[in-house]
Amino acid sequence: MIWVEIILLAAVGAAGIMEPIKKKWWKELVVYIVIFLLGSVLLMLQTAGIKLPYLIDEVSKFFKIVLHLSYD
Amino acid sequence: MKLDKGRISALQLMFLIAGYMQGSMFVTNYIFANSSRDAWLLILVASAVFLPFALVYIKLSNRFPDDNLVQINDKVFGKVIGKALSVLYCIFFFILCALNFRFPSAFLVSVFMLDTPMVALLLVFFLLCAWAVKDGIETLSRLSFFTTIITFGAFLIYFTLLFNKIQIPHFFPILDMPPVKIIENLNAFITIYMGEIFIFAMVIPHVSDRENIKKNYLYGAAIGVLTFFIGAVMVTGVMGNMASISTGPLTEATRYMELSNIKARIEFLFMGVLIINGFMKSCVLYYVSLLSAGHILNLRSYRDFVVPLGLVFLGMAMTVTENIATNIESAKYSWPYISYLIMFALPLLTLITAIVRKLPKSRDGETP
Repeated sequence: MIWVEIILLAAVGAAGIMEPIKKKWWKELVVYIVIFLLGSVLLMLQTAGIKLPYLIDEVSKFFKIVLHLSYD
Repeated sequence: MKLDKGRISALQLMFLIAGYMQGSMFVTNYIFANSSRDAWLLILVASAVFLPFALVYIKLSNRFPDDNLVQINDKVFGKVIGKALSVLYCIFFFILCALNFRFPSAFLVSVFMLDTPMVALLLVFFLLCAWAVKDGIETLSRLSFFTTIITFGAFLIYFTLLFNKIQIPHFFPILDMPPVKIIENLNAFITIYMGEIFIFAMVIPHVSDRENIKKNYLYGAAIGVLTFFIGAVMVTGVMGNMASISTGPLTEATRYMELSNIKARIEFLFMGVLIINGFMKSCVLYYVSLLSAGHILNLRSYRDFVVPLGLVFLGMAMTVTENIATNIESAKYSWPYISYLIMFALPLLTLITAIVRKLPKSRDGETP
């Protein structure tokens, strides 16, 4: 499954970088690659079953346990 | 420099705001779970409390008519502090966008499509949003006209068809809850349902007829509030306290509908309306996130980044919160504090600083 995802992402990524390369927008190309890799890694971690911390839930714990801010 | 050259009218801004607020209907579970039969009253009180904040957003945008939030920050606080504040806004937009990507899919998976993996729905949703956002603010504003009309019309039709099921005793006793609960509910309404329209500070520079911005901004918010009010009266009148234990009070209420003594079961159509709302809201957030990231990174176009940033949102949507229960917890414990800082404190601070520093200055050094 993860290989299918990698192939699909590689195809989408390759199609996307053509535009900045054609226009010679090198900064945009770097930003594109960084954001694309970040998104791809996030998705692949999900597919591989690696559990990431739940962002909002962790923040809530911080507010509740550390700052003791709640309506209760 | 504008990343999107599109221009919209103030009337289109009104529909965008109304459509955006209607998109918050997906988070009604938390609001109904907490306030149940008083939701219709609390939304009116919350509107009155929110009005000064809305005026702050409008005043800020009118002071810097050609600049969005990121550009305003740069002008008011300087490059370094301004960029740091813009990054805060940007992270907030990203989290909001990821959450709103998640809501429609999570709701469908938990209520109607129990065996479907959420990522499948998320992927379809992402592709649709990316398609809409790619064409810019003009396309989004045209879309918002239809979504707002469809939603408002659907709420009116469902309300009319359910009218004979509404029972007045369901509304009483009024505000039978401790004061802290009332504050909690008002916070939820103000931050989740209304305050989020501060993001339109990123869109207002695209409005061509500026003299009508204030009027249409407030009209848009009023349509959003009115839609919720109709929904709240419908849910409370039909379900009473049962709404507080429902996973989807709005769709649940529409199940009570009967047409010619036949159980109509047309709640699926209503679900469709809610999905359209969620789509509209996600598109606006997606667009705003792209614009803010583009301005912070000083990019020449945002369109090339629609897909990669969408992938980030897709990944974030899977990991932003575990399930509806934890999401409700966060709405209770953390979201109001974060929201008050980002939505109210920072824009107010920006406006005060701009007034004290007499910004913006024209070329001859005068404040226009």
